[in-house]
Amino acid sequence: MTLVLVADDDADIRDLVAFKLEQSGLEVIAVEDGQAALEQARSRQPNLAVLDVSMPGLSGIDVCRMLRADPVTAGMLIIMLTARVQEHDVEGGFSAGADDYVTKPFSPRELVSRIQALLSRTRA
Amino acid sequence: MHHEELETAKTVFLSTVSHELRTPLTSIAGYVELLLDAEAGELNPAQQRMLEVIGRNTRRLRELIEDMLIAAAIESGEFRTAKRSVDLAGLVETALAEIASAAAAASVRLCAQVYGPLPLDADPDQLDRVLADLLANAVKFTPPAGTVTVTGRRDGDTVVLAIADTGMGIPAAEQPALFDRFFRASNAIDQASPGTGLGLAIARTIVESHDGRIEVRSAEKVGTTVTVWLPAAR
Repeated sequence: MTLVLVADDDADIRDLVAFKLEQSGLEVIAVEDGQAALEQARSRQPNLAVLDVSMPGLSGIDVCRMLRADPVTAGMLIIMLTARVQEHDVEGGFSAGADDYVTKPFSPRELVSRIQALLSRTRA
Repeated sequence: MHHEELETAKTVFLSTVSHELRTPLTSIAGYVELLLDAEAGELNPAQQRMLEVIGRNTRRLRELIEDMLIAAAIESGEFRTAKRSVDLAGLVETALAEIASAAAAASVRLCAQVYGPLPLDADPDQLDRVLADLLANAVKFTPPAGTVTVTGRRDGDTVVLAIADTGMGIPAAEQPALFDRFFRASNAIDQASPGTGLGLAIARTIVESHDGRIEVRSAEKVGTTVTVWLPAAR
């Protein structure tokens, strides 16, 4: 089964994403900050991580960079969630090594289709 | 406060406000979508209609916030485009899906003739803004039983997008002011139709920052066509 890590400090959004992904047949680990995301990514090695950019402590961009730097997690698919349309977030996300980014407010349906597109691209 | 500090404070403020506004909107719009998709169980027709109203108004609020934030960014000199490879045909499809429920509620027919793919080197979020604003205007100013037609095609090095409506049109004398910020046509004000007068000003700033051009042709009681030309990706 495909395992997806979801990290967002806003509980309502975290539950929203987790619920939608589970309904779409994915297995979900949901965490509320960057440190927990990093730990879960290393121990559970999910196929894909959805990381909110703005989290207290380690930001999504920090986590992304650290995952890419670690050979164990370097190949993980990463989607960033950002609430800012400003270019430094988007470029920051891509330069940290994210595969895609989704801007808040996003549609849960759209997020799932982006996730599935990334998963199928790597499987093909 | 020094000028530079003031500018930095403005930037930080904008960034904070946009984050603070978009986070709750994500939850509202997201949970409404889940309910409407019957992910939490089947809805009866009355519940369905009520949720559609919430969804439509959430979208309106979101459009308004996005327009305000982008206008503020333009004003403070913070406006930047982050270009990457995008397909305009795909963006149009998404924008049409977004406006579909507002069009249905207004009994306006949506019609699309888009010959994709239409590859651009562009900022997808900003083009979404242009499409959302132009489509919202077209639907808003078209009476019931009217039609909004979106055409998109490639013409050599250029991608041409046109949004045509069979709406109330804009008085000829007022057309030169259309792209001015906060400008609203007299017939729009007479009809008390909602709006801020920001949409076209924003659309022009975005289109021009993509080295493109935007033009409005309109005749009163006949309709309005907005055409956008953008350089195609090589």
